[in-house]
Amino acid sequence: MELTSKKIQKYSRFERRKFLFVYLFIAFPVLQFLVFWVYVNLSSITLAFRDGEGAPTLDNFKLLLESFRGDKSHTQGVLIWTAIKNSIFLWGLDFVILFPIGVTTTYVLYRRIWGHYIFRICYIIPSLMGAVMWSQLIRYLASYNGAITMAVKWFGVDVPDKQGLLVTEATAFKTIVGIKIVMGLVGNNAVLTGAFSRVPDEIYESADLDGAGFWRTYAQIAVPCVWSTIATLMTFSLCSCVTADYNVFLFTGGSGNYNTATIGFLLYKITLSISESSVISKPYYGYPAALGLFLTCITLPVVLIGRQIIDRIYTDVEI
Amino acid sequence: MKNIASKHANLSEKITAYVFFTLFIFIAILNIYPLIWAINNSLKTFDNYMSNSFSLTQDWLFKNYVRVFTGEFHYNNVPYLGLLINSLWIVIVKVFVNVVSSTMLAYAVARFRFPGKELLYVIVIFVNTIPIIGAGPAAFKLLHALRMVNNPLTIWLSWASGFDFAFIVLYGYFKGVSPAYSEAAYIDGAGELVTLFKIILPQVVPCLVAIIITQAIGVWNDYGTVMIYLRETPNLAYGLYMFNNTAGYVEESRPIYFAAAVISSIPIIVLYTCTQKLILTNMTAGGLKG
Repeated sequence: MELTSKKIQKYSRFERRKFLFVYLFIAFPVLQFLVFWVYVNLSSITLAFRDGEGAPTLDNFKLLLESFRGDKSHTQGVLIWTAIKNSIFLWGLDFVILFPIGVTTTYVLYRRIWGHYIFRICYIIPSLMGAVMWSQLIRYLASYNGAITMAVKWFGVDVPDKQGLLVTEATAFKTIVGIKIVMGLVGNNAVLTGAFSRVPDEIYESADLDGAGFWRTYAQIAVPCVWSTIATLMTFSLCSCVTADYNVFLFTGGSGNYNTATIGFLLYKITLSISESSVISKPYYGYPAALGLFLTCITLPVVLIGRQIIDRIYTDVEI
Repeated sequence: MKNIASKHANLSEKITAYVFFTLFIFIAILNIYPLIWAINNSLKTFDNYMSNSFSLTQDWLFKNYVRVFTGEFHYNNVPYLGLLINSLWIVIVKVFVNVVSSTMLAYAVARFRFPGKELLYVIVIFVNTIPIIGAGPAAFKLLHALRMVNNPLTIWLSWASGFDFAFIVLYGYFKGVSPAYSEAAYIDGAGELVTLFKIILPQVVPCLVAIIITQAIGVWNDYGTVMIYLRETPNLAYGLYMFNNTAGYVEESRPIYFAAAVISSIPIIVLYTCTQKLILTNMTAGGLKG
């Protein structure tokens, strides 16, 4: 009888003890997530529909629309459009051009080209130095008498006297693009090398024995074997299209008539100005929250479609 | 595995190797030049730096490095040593709470069956792959209301997120450890915590160390969080940014700034160089479905 009643219980005592352990174990991370992610994001949505006193309103969105409807003299509208345009361009450059090149260069380094160990350290140095130090040094080198400015002048690029590449409207964004290309040619090195090193050597060796050349091994063996990692990184890249490149803040501060602004830069700058103004006054959260919601709405479909495409071409390879 | 640059490589492989080697040298120079330029100028007098910042230093002023520590480099009355200590505690606390939180969640989701397990996994994937942006002001409002802004004693709560990339890497590793290990431990009478700490965690130590090092590098260089939430406890990255972006900046301090920047970079470059192999073989993630 006792056995029967135990059988009809959904979970045994052993399992219930396990559940208790598991729920106690995950309680802190879940609670932290509920407060600092779920609540924050819900709060952000509600703030977009409230005025300074907390009353419901659509004024934040009206203000946003007005800034777009305005002519080119409307600084805020121009800034937002510039940020969207620049972010899409940089993301496209990263996703379509630099990412595939990064996979290839990582593979070549993984196949132990001469000096691969030293090269990897050289490539990671900008990341190790950190965005602040790296950007400050680049700013010096791109100033009116810096090495980068002199080099581009030598190629015939017109840079106004006493002005650097990063403060001149005509060259500031192009310089940012150049920096991104140099950094991105060997991007995602750590994660991809980890993935390549997990492919058993025997697979490469049997391809060699079968007479497969370097590029054939790369395209038909290496890439399919690490495709799950590539797909994951592509998904992250898709997701980061709106938050990446906020370090433009360090390179230019949005200078050159703010023509270097990106969405990441814009959102960081807004949060920073709220943080600074909170010392002396009560900050207004409604408009920034509305802007965030608007930018989420226009980027979310792009990301979802992109994810669908990546998932479709995704196939697990058993190794 | 055949080395691309081996003696047995065929002609097309040799051409590929030479082309990439040339490209790699070019990229390496572009990447490393700013650091060499900074080291060179950190050893100059200001006059020599201004007269020609590209010439090799003749001054060899190593005392510029001493001057960084003797009060000539400071931000907001916090000396360099103070900034360094702030960087250290922020790295230790932020990485510790984040890794502990991610480990707890990843371990539970990867190795136990319980109601809600799938939901948690889907949430992690959702959070990491769907861009919900613009929550910065709301996050600041919450932390401000909770009096966590500029409060080192409580700010760590906001850093202890377990739903991030570390979860994805750890989840894969915990999944990879055979259930036979924990089953054997249970049969021997070990409890859940003993099984975790004595059986499972030792097997994922290389992965944990790789995560800790990569996170530490990121946090060491993080100016954004400090600039918004911990302005009264500046770290090195924020201090270096503010040092020559504030009104009181003196042009003559540039060699000192370069020396400070070089000192700040060295621990991280050494740390990475020593652990490169460990990081490269243990940082991987794949198969996001959800």
